[in-house]
Amino acid sequence: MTVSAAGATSFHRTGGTPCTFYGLFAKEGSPTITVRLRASDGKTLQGAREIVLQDWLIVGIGDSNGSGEGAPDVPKPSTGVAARWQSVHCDRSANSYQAQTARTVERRDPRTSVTFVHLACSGASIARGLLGPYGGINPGILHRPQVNAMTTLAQGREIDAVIVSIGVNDLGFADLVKHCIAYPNCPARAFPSLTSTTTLDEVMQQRLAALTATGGLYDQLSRALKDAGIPARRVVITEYFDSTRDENGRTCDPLISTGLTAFDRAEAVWAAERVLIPLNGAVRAAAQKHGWRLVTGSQEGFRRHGYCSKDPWIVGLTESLASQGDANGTLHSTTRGNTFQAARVYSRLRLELYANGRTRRPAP
Amino acid sequence: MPTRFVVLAALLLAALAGPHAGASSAASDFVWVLQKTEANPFGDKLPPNATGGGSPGHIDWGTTVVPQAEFDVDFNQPPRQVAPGAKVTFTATVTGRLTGEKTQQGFRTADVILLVNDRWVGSLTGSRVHCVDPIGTEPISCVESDLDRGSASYVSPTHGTTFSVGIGVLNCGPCYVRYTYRAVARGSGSSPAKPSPPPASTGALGIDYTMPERFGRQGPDGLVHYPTKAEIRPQRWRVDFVVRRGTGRHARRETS
Repeated sequence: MTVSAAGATSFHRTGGTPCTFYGLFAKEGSPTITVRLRASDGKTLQGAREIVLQDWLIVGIGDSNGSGEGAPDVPKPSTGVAARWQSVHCDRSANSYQAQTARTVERRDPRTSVTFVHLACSGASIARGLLGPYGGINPGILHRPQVNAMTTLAQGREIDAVIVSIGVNDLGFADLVKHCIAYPNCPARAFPSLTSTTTLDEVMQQRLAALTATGGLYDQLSRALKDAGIPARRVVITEYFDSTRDENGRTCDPLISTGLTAFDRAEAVWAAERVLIPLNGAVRAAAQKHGWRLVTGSQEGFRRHGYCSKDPWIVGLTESLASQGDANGTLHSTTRGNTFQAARVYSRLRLELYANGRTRRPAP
Repeated sequence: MPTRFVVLAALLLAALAGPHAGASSAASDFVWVLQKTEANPFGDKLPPNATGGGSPGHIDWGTTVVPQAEFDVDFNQPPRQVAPGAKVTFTATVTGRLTGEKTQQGFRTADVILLVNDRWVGSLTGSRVHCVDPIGTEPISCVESDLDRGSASYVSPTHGTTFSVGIGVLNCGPCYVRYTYRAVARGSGSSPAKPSPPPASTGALGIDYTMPERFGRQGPDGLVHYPTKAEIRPQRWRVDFVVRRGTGRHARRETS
């Protein structure tokens, strides 16, 4: 048998009937492989096929929703034994929707493979995490900016997709939650400190405006991604889910209670209508402005699976303490919720990777 | 389920073939050439409680009405050229599941349908979600069909200048993906604008290949293995090949 293909460095026979072998190639591409062999009846047979040697380089960047906060790789099995994460500093897990999306791409197409670079970090914002250094939710080492780390790790390879979840921490999500648990009628309370002259609602509106303003945070991210050589259509950004509702779609009452204080129903309605929905609007506007691919469906899909639902896709405070030993997972997506988000992302991503139903060829 | 498909396919063939059923392509002096592919050719809008849309080879469809459901439909693309009177088969795989409420009565279906000249002529498959309470007192139990496959065939006309064939999902206008064929005289030099790469091998040998899975394996510590710096940019890419006698010839004959 003789085998030839441009770019192949060697071929190795692995079986006789059917004839199997593997080839080693120096780079990705779409070479034509030609096989010539002598059959048992003495005839010489030949076949040829163009192959698309494509290893999708998929990068996941962003915040806790992207890192898989709330869904550790291995939940804490007992007192004194820690939960296990891909990164304990970032609460980064392979149960995240970003990793599950990459795994779906890997599983669905045996003729391609996936290299997944996961950089999302719980607590990251655009300013601190994506474009600037950040120590992580459990600070240890200072991580380099995710956009910068992405290009360094790619080592010149073509990046096929960048999955992004970002924006909520630029609003100060964690502080909002703490504030609303601690104080009644939190939107009207002084924020960020009790001596501030601004209220929580006013600060949220200011920060939302800063996300979408010309030259604002999403514009800065777009510029950084362009500078990193990522075509806009390869950036897939996801909207945020709604964690505030029960199994009938009604707002939780209360959303969270500590026994002494509560994030009550009125505050949850405010959080959904004045923060979550406008935030998703900002994500949508940024996607439209910069040509990113927007993945919707999570706000609606989680509508009956919120914090107080009988079928929750949201991690509760007690569950977070039990599974990861801290409260950081509270109000984040469970693995099941991440699976839902991953399915949405995959549906969008496949249109980019397989335009017109064909595997996109690697850049020359 | 298979019986249903056989019956449907038979009905389809009878309906489509009509008085030309006996005509063969042997005497034809033209060939059908795929002229255009359109998603949502009529610009239909989805109802406010639904999501979805079509693209070549894929359809998404979902509804936010209880029981909320979401379906993904994958189907093969028709050939670029079809001989008059030739039978072409569409196959579809539907992945369907509930995305929301599981405790209220209801029924969802993604009936994948075949359309010829914009008319619904038959179904390929339907992935269903039932949430039923047959006697009105039991807890409602939802049954999901995780994976559903089906097929339907059509026979291309033996005369005329154009025809269209497409795949859609019942009750989802924007999901319709239409393929329009144009008659081109043999030897006229007319051909589709851009030839596609060979879908299969050519010659007397069929060659198939796979790339080994790189992401998703569990490491010795039980965690999913994330690539190291060296693995992100490896020195060599491995491709596994299988070669069988005859497959290539068969594939070439079907698409010529």
